[in-house]
Amino acid sequence: MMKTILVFLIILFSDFSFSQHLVGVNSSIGFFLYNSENDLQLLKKRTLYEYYAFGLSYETSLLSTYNIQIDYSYSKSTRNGVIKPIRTDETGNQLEVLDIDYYLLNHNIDLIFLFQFDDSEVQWGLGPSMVITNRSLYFPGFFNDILASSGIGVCATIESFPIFRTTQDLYSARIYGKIRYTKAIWFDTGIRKLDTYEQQFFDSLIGVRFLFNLSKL
Amino acid sequence: MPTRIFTLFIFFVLLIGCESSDIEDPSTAVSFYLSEDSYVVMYLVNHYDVRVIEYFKKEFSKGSQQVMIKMDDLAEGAYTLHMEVTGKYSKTFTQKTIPIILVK
Repeated sequence: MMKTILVFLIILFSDFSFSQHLVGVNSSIGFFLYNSENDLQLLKKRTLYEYYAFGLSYETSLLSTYNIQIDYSYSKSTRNGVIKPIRTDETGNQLEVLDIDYYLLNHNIDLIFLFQFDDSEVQWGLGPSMVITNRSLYFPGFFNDILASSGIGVCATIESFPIFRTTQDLYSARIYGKIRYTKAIWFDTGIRKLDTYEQQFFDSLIGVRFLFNLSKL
Repeated sequence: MPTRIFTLFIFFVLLIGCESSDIEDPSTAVSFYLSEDSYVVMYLVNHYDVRVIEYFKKEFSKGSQQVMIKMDDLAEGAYTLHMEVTGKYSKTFTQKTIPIILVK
C-alpha cells in the first residue's frame, strides 16, 4: 500500500514539473432537467427550472495524456412566497399577508478528467461530482428551517477552444457546457422526519471560464 | 413577632412564586361535519412531503364531529393536515387539506 502511494506521489510531482497550471473564474446559467424538489407540494406551482452559478476552477495535466480539472460552483435559487399565511386578529379580520420563502443553495464540486479532441483545442471530460445542499424554508421572524445534505453523482463536460487569449497565453477564456446528476446520500436530519424524502438534481449548464495560466509567470 | 413575619413572607413567596407562566397547549381542535357514517383518516404531512403523524383511521357516525390533534413533539415549520373521508354506504371518497404553520 505504501509503495503504491509513493509511486503515485512520484508520478504526480514529477509530472507537475512540466505541466501547466490554470486557475479559472467561471460564471454560468443552469437549467434543471430534473429536480426532485419540484415534485413536492410546496413547489408544485412554483417550480425551479433555472439558476445562476459562479465559481472557481483549477486545471493541470496530471499525466501527459489528459488534464484534470477541479471545478467548484455556487448557485442559489429562490422562490418567494411559496406559502402565504394570513395574520388575523381575534375576530378573524385580516391584518396582513406574510411570506414564507424557499431557498435552494448548492455547492458543487466536480473532479473532471479532460481529454482533447484530435487536432483541436476542444476538450471533453467526465468525472465524479459532489454536492453540498442547503435547502431552506424561511419565515422571517419566526423560523428558518435549513436542511443540509450532501450528495454524489457524475458529470460530463465539453470545453471550447479559447475564445480569447493574450499573446503569451497568460490569460484566456473558454465557453463550456456541462451536464450533471447528483443524488443526496446524507441529510443532517435533526428532529425532522425525512423517511421518504429524497434529493436528486439533473441539470445542464452553459458558462464562460476566464483562465489565468500560472505556469507562464 | 419575627416568626409571624417570616411565616407571612413564606406564604407570600408561595402565593406569588409558585405559579408557572401560562403556555399555549400545542394542540388544536378540528371540527367537521359528516353527512353519513364514514371512515375517516387524518394525518399530517411536513413540507418534505413525508407523513409525520397519523392521528386516526376510524369510523365516525354522521353529524358534527370534533377531534383534538396534538403537535407537541413536532419541529416548527410548515405542515399540511390531510383528511380522507369514505362514506360507509355511498362509498364516496372526499379529501381535504388544511395548511398549518407551526411556530414554537
